[in-house]
Amino acid sequence: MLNTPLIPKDERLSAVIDGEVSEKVVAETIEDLMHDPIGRARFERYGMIGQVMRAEMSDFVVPDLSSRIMARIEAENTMRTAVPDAIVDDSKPAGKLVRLFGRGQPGRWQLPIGVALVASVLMVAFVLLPVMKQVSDVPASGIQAASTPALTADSQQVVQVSAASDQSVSMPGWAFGGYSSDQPARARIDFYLDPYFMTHFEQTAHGSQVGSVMPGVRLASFQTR
Amino acid sequence: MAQELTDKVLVQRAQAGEQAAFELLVRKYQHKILRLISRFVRDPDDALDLTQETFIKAYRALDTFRGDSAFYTWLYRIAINTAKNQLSSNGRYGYIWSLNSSPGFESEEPMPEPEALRDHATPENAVLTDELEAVIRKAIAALPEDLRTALTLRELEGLSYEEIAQVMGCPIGTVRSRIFRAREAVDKRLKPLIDNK
Repeated sequence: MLNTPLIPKDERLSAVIDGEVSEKVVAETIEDLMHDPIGRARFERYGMIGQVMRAEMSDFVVPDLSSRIMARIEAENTMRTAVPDAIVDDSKPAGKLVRLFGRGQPGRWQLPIGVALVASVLMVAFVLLPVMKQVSDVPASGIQAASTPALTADSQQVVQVSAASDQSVSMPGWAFGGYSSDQPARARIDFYLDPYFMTHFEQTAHGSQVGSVMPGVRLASFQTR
Repeated sequence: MAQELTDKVLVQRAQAGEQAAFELLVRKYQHKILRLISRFVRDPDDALDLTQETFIKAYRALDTFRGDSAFYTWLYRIAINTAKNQLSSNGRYGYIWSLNSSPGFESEEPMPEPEALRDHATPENAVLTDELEAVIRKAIAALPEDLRTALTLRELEGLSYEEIAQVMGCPIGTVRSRIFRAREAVDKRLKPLIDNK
């Protein structure tokens, strides 16, 4: 019964709740309710009558529950205005940010811990990458172990690299990025270098006056044969 | 469904930014959602928090609701997921039976209600519920027969006004009037009780 233009005004709310009026009447009635808090409360009580009859009520009733919910929404809107981009729909993964503001939510420390972990990984990568590149990118030929482990401080600061052109270049240890590597060459390097690292480390630690200099930086020199 | 027309209009107005429209949706469904969530959590404060959380999530996501399903179906899913997330994050599966295997998990069908989960009402709120139910049932029992029949056919049997008119042998306008007057009579007893709490 959706075409009932002559519904007495008093009966409209009841008929709207039952969905027994036209869309136009629904719109008009709801428009009235927008400015009528007493009518909205009546709307709730009318609905409550049916819910009690159908045993749809919870075991406990909180009379001001809707007020609490709307107050929270109002507060959230205020916060959203203040921090427009931080508050998002937390039904999506990115919305976990919202939990930082929630009372007793388990996600309270997720973001700081995550940031700390990522920062730690990046820092470790930043420190180790040059050393790893130094080992893996060394050319296969021209490796010559330093004959004197306890080198002078000056000569230990650089690694000498030479290309096929017989020109020697001195550069810091982490500046090897342009050299290609291959697996057999890596194996040969490891074969020569690993024992030397060990030996050198021991001598640096116990017999050298320059223990603060990284062993890996001052180990090898490369010369054209 | 004709009844969904009201929700549709309310949702549209809420999406347009009218909080009063969303308030009406809250008023309409708060008790059903609270009852739904109360099946899963033992603590009434948790149930209240989750009920509020459900409506706040719905409010935030309201723009994404396209009306492909009924509003209550959408709200129901949010409530279930909210309860499920909360329980799993707290490691409190002991308080529920498996939500995933529960009948009605993905539907609106009512779920079985274990008695163990029904002892969570605070004394004051439980008393209020009892009083509400008592007042409403007493008021309905006191209604004239024609009003009570019309209201019962509508609320319990879910008949349309047209069907009720056929059953009762009267015009649709009379059905509408009887149901309205029945509600008004009950509301006269209900309103003071709620206002005093």
